[in-house]
Amino acid sequence: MSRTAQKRLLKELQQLTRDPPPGIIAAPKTESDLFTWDCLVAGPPDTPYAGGLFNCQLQFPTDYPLSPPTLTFTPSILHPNVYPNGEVCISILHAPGSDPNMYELPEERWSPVQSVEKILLSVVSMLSEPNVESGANIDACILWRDHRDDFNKKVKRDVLKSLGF
Amino acid sequence: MKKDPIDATGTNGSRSFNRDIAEIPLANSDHTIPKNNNALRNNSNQSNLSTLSGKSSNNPFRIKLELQQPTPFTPDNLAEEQEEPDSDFEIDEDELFSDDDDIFINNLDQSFNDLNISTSLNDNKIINEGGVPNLKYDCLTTNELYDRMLLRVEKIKPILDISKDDIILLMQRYNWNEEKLLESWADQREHIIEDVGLSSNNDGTNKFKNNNPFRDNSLQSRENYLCPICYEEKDCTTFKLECNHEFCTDCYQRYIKNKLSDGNIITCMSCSLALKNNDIDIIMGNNDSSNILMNSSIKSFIQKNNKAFKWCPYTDCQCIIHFKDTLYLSEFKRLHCSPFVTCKNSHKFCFSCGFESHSPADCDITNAWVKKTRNESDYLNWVLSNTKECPKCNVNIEKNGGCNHMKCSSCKYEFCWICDGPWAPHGTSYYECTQYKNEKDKDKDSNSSNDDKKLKKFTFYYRIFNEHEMSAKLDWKLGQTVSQNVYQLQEKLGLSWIEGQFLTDSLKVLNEGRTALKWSFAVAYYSDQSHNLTKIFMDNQALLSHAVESLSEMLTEKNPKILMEKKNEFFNKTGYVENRKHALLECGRDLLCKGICKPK
Repeated sequence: MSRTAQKRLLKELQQLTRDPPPGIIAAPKTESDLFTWDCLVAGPPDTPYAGGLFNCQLQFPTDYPLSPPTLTFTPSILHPNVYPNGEVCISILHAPGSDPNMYELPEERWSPVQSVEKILLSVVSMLSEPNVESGANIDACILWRDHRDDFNKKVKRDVLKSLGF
Repeated sequence: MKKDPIDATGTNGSRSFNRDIAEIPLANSDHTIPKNNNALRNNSNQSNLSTLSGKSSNNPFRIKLELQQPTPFTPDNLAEEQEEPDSDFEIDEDELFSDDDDIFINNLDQSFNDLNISTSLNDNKIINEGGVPNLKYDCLTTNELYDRMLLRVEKIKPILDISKDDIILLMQRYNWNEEKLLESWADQREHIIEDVGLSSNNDGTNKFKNNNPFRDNSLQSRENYLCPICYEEKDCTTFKLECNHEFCTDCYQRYIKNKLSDGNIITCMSCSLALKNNDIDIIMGNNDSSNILMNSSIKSFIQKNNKAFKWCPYTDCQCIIHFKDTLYLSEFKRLHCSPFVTCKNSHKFCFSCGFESHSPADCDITNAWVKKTRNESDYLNWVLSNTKECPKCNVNIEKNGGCNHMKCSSCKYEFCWICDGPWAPHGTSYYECTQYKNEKDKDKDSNSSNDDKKLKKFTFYYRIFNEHEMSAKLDWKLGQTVSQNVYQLQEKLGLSWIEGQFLTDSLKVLNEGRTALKWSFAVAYYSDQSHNLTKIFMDNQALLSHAVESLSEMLTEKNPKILMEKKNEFFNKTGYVENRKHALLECGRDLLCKGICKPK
């Protein structure tokens, strides 16, 4: 099982280094462990996150790609869809299952055809368009919805922090 | 976990209950904490006082959104009756799923113990019950249930006019509720087809039709195929549905294997088009896989319909009890009796709470008692402070992270962790439930801890309860000598089998009397001690206990001749135990109905 995962992760790594998507860098943390990746995501322009360079960690399960990895911002950032502990909550990271209320379309859920690249692209789009309908950080949700200026200010501080200021 | 040896002084064959050694009651019939059975069972050899003082065990088990598995409890005295489920059980579809109108039998002569359908001995005892409805239920295995499902599929096939595999998918999606299915089929057929994944989004809705010429879903041999899942370029066989998402069979097999036990519809790895049973078998190369999927689908069906269906809680028993009319269960609750059912393997248990037959206590008392007896360590406090009961099915749930949108893994009910209300109204108003109501939990804690007087009283009853549990175990050993005796009667005295049966019957009565006696101490514990009725109840207990002990003693006789001479005495004694038991049960029910006995 984990041999499949290793092979696949290796291929994904090759592809990412050969043809990296703009604003994203991702690679395993150490050479010995393919299942923990460090990623750098650039804040998309025209958002409060613009200019920031956010570090996050991907942790892959041994049955990858059947199960999705988890993605954690280190350090955490202020965002409606990021838990205070940094864990990212977006539909592509959720394994599909019976979802009677149809909150999330099955196409948006995790499936083995998704990839690291797609996850990171989803994160970039999450940064530019927060989804407050199913928020992970309720304080951030309220801030984003009702006090956008405050929100932007706090995010700017995160951005500066991410750059080491 | 620390384990104290059994105190040897009390066990030496003595059957007098106050000298037998204690055992923790019903560690086995744990239906809220499925993972911990063994731990609790091991724990059961501890002596009472050490368990009660709470020093001995520190048991930080966790229940993560675990569902309520068929709870393995193994009363040894019933283990002898284990046999294979009868696979030739006849299928009568009408009987299972149609409503029975004649179920409400208001027979005043209805005996309380008619409820225990299998115990024919009790049938001649008539106690006026004032309209407890008769219990009607079926005992099935998963396969039988599946066969019945298939019959239903056949039934609605002419209405829907699509293939059987498609109907099975639709039924899975609609939790095997054909009424709902037919209703939505009439209303929004195309939407359903897409929703279930019978056709893909982009290419119309006509493809799902029966004998569909487009459905070209067989395996293909490919050379140098680059599978988008494993990213390997190799010569392999591939599979694709109409959606043209093609993957190598290795990946598909891994994917399907992973999903078989979920009981949900399995879709294409890339879109929501469903894999039919046939497709699954083609990919997996055998016929078992779709059966496994169907089995797990039926299992999840049972768990979602846990009002009408229950697993037999005994270890390795595959039986499912199905109630046709669950409305009457509330009637049972109101009258403080419990719906005891017996599965095909003669396991008798309470349909509402899943415990062994616990009369005279009702389910509330039983639950309260069992939770109480587990208060040995910080265990109960942990459950109280870290878990919540699912508002719908009462499974204990620990929240181990994530948002407040909870979904019970047992009954799939979605609720809000903070307000316990259903989740649906929360859909878009995530901010409404931010006030944490902790007071309730705190109240519980302060009530359940540090009350010395209560602890003493509890210790007393707990000990007696355990002694009876232990005696029941010894009775089981006794049962083996009894069956030997029956055999000897036939061998040595040349008697026919039927003439030796009085011994087996006596043993059965003894067991039932013992169980009733055991649970009566739970009732006594929760009763208002100053009330006269409680005193009467306790007198009844003493009488039954005396009767049970003397019957138990008689059964130890080994000489077949003496046994035969005592045959009449046996009849008398069993009758007496029966009578005493009924008196006790009635008295207990009185206590419950009059509110003298209440779980605190």
